[in-house]
Amino acid sequence: MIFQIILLIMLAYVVGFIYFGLYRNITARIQGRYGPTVYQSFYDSIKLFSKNNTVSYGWMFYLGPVIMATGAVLTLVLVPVFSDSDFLRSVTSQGNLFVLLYLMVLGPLGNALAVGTGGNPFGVMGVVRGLTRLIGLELPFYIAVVGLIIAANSSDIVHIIDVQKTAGLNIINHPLLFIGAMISMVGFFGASPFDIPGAPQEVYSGPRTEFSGKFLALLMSQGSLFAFAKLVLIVDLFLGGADSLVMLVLKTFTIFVAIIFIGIVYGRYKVEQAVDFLMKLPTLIAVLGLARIVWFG
Amino acid sequence: MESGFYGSSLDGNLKCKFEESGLANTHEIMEKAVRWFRSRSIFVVAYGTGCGAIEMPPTFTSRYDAERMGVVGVATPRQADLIILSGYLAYKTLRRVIRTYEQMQKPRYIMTLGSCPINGGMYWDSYNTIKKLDDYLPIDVSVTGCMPRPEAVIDGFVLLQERIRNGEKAGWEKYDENFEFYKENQKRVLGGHIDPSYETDWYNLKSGGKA
Amino acid sequence: MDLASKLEKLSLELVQKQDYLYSVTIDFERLESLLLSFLNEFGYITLDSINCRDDLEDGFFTITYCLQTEERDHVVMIQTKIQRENASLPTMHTIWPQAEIMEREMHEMFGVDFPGHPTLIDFALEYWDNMPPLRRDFDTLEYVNSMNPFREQRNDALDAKEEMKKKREAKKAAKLKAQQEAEAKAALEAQNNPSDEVKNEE
Ligand code: SF4
Repeated sequence: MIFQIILLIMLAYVVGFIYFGLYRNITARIQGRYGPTVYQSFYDSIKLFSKNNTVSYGWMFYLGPVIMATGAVLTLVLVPVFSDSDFLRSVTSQGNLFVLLYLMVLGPLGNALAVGTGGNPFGVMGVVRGLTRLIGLELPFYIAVVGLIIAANSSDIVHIIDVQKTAGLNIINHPLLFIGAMISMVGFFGASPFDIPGAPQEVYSGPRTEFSGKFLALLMSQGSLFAFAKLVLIVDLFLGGADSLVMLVLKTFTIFVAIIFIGIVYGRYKVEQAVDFLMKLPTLIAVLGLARIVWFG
Repeated sequence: MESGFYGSSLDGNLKCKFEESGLANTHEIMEKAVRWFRSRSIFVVAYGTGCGAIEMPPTFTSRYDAERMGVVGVATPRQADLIILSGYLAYKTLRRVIRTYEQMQKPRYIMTLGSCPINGGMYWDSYNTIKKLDDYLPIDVSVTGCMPRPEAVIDGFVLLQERIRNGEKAGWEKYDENFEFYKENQKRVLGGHIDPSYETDWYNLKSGGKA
Repeated sequence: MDLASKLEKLSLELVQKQDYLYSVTIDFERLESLLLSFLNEFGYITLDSINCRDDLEDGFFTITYCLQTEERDHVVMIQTKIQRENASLPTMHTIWPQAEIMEREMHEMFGVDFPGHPTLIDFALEYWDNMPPLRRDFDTLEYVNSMNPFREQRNDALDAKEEMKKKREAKKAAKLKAQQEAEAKAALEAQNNPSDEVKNEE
């Protein structure tokens, strides 16, 4: 099982980094430039891992990225990656949606602790912005998840996937929930218009301002792991999971490209604008979807 | 806190370990690989001194697109590998630049644009600018011109990448070796008003304080 | 212009420098009251700049206040002279807030004192402990050479003038040679096929 977990992390690492390479490449092509190679994120992370670290703010500072990475890896392990195989089934059957929702907030909290120790004003500003945004992001996503739980009558992801096999995909049965969850997913990926915490022109790198070298590499790696986990979660919940590697890559990539295109087209919201928007439109859509499930089945 | 995963290009401890176990060759190969990755991924903090800052945006945006070579701008010196000084430096600026440079993590490189950092350029007789930047900070690549076009800047990037790949002695190593020399020069011109080095380990000041 | 007549009452002369630029010269004692009356009576509400010129030979600074009305169609310069040694001026920051930073700069660059000014601290320079750098008795070149020596010359550096001369001469010689060659060639060709010429003549 340990072997499987390591395999999964490696898979997520590779796929996640290639996705981020693609993200940069596609962005570049849309902006009319050649852009970096697809493997650029690998180069960056290996280079960052090979850098020195002479900054020290005490142990809490070191612990922050580790907490974030823990959250990412746990999420990754608890999300069922392949629907029909026994791959890590013994672990994934332990966790359900509620655990996952808790784990998704673990990262930002660990980050807040570390950045607070660092004491960099831009970092603190970034964390505050991130946590404020989280209030808005979670609302539509949680409502959508609750809707799915009611519809499937279970909070077990494996069961939700199984239900979709007989009753049809959730994206078709509950499109309103899908739209609500997708909008907040754009925010969870840190894409525009919700890229508030690390807004480069406003708070420099935000929470990452004070992190360098290996910590930055760890943050980048956990970011790509986490991104992959979130993509798999969306695929599980709405697209009926994936039974082979090809299907997995195909489905996650579709979602990912959709998020990229949304991110490139829009500019950045201000903090209060973002929360305002998220609390209105996506929440309303998700609530409508929930009402439809509750009253019309 | 020296925590080196090939932290410097010549990590003494690790090399010894590899050599003990008869794997000196492996170490060499790995070092080569790391150098290659370093050359392919350069994070730049562009410190816009002087006139040259105006050439940075075209270098990094759609027209000349330095990102295709892995050269990408970052916001803070902590994350950066390369600092670009684009023109003349007043004493006041030099103070900030030294501080920024010392905040960067090793390996770190400096690239200067224009003739001003080399010999003062057209500000050679100004009472408030320095003439030879290499007296105060180690320069890795100087791109000449007044002002160099983005093509020349990109040529500088290529040269820097080549130097990193070949494992030539970089500026930061010289800075560490001749620390006294550089600090003396800085003190001479800045009158001793240099901000504290950011490599100081504030938590262990009693035990030397050197991080 | 009615400003001229108003100033005449104060026994001052308005001199037109350019079509939008006028100047008034006044002695130091009456400067402050004149500035005040410009602001309150004549409606010159904007202070553009305060400038200082170092007349080292005559031993005084020439101070210029540039003022504008609300219409912004012309500028009036009010000029006065103050002693170079222990120079001091009344501060105007209570009337025009922007004067604070202008006076601060003048204090730094010329060493003019402004009694009552709240922030006479460093402006552009930092920790400057020499003579104010824009005074003309400050020897910039000597200071620069003492602080920043020149880079040593490269050994292969050549004298530009002579090199250019050599280049020009070589160019001239090459041109001459080419001309001669062309002439010789033409003559040779004319010898070899005289038929062409005959044809042309026909
Ligand atoms: S080299 Fe030329 S363009 Fe560059 S800072 Fe000096 S004067 Fe300006």
